[in-house]
Amino acid sequence: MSEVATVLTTNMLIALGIMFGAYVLIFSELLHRTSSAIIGAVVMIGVGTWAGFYSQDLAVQSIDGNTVLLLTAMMMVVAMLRPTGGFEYVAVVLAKLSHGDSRLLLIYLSLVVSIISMFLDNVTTVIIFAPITVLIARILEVNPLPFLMAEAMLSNIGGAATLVGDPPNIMIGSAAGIDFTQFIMHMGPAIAPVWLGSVLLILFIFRKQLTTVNRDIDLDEKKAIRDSAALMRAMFALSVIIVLFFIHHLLGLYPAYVAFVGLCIALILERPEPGTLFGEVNWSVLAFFVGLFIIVGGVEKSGLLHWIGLQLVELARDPEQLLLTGLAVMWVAALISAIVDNIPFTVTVIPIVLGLESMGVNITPFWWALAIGVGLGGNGTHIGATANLIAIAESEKCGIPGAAITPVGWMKVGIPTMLSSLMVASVVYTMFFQFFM
Amino acid sequence: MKLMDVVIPTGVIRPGMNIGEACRECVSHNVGGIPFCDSSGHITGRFSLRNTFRKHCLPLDMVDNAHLLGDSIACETAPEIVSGEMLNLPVDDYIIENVASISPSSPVVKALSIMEKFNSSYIFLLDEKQYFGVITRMRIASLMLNYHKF
Repeated sequence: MSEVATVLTTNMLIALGIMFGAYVLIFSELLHRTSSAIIGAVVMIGVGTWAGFYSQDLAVQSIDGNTVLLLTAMMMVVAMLRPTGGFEYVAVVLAKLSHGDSRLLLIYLSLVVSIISMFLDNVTTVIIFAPITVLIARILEVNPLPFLMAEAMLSNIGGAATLVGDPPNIMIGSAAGIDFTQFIMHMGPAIAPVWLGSVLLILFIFRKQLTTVNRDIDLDEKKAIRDSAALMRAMFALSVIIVLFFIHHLLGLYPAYVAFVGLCIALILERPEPGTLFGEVNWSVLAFFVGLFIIVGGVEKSGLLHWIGLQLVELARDPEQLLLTGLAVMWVAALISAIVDNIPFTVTVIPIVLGLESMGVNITPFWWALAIGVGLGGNGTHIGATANLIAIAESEKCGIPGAAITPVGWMKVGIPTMLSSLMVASVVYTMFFQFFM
Repeated sequence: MKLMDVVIPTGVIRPGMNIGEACRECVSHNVGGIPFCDSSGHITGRFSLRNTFRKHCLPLDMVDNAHLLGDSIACETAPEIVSGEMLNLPVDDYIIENVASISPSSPVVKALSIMEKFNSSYIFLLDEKQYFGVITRMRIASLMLNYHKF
């Protein structure tokens, strides 16, 4: 291994080449991103072993078990919660509460999607809410486009507030040793005004389409609940998980273990059919993460990330420049996350930030800047976050004239939303910088 | 019971025909679908009433949440208010390529199994390239009742 090398070595260039090749495959979508990550990981281990900077053991050690297991457990809990119809029930009740006022409907749906996304995967949340949103819009005879865009964007923003709301946050929390409470205490005050500002901006942008209509929503929310007992059991398990998330650090438990405790409760109470339960887990995403961890592990072991840290250390070490560097991290992370998948980016940046710590830099503000940046950047373009793609797919297949969201149409709303979000977050970050340190 | 005993002879759909003509053929024989033949007479697909309704007037969001729909629901995609122009549309865009078929020498249970596997209420009876007609569950049940004088 060449972890302490201060100059670029052949091993570093080899590792960089493999990672670059894998990322080109991932971002170009020539192959499915999971296939690309698996291929990249296998090549990294093989070549790294041959070159002497990586090994199978090191590859296994580089996998962040907390992240992968936490996601696995939460996917299983959602798999039991989803068929109960609880989410559809909430959507219909909120739609009726809006009394045909499209603006209220948008606020209600965005709020509930954001709250759910704080604790559950935001992609799943949008997958569940998008079809029922289109149906509600269809009945009200209004364009579903503003609602779908708002749900995707605000689920991304909501997810940025918590440790478990977005995979990059899990990775950041795991690497930095940040617990759930600490995470929400820091990110919550930054994300709350961002959320409010984004809702107001979206309401303003779509002001001509968001009208009040005099139509009844002829949907029966009581029929949404397919199994009320199952819903109660799943909600109980989820409640246990959420409560434990807030105190896991006091108990010395990993977030992943906490999620598995809740999962065990759900498994005992629910006794799901194994084929259905395991079929609902998104193994592709988990395999993608494992592949990325192994690829970046190889790059780290080659010493390249340490070398990059050395190039950045002078800028980051200066206490006078710390705020500026933090803001730069936030904006660069956001802009990159708007055009490429924020997960590979986060996985790559984390070891660099960790490396700076070993050089005597106070990296705590960088973690928050990184979390804010990758969380908010995804709203900029249609490809910035998976939830955006779900909303677009739903808008295209609904067949309602004028509902289809185009890439340009997304950016017309997404870029102003992203920029305003970043500006609000930057103000909060600057004003309370001592808190973020 | 032989499949030739329960087959319902029908016409086929050809390129250029419209949805109205295809619907009439299905309705007059009480079947859910009929074969689509290309200009050379080969069966290359099928016209399905279910698929046509789904494609033309049943959005997925409505199907996914069908259990929530109230009785007074109405919107522009509801079948009863779909413009009659739908019937004049060329059938070619509504053809499904996968065709479930069975030969006359096959047992009835095989026909039922294939219908189950394809989640379909009908299957085409073909021998080599000769088309005999449509086998439906309804027709099999009807013959079963007659056979056992139930």
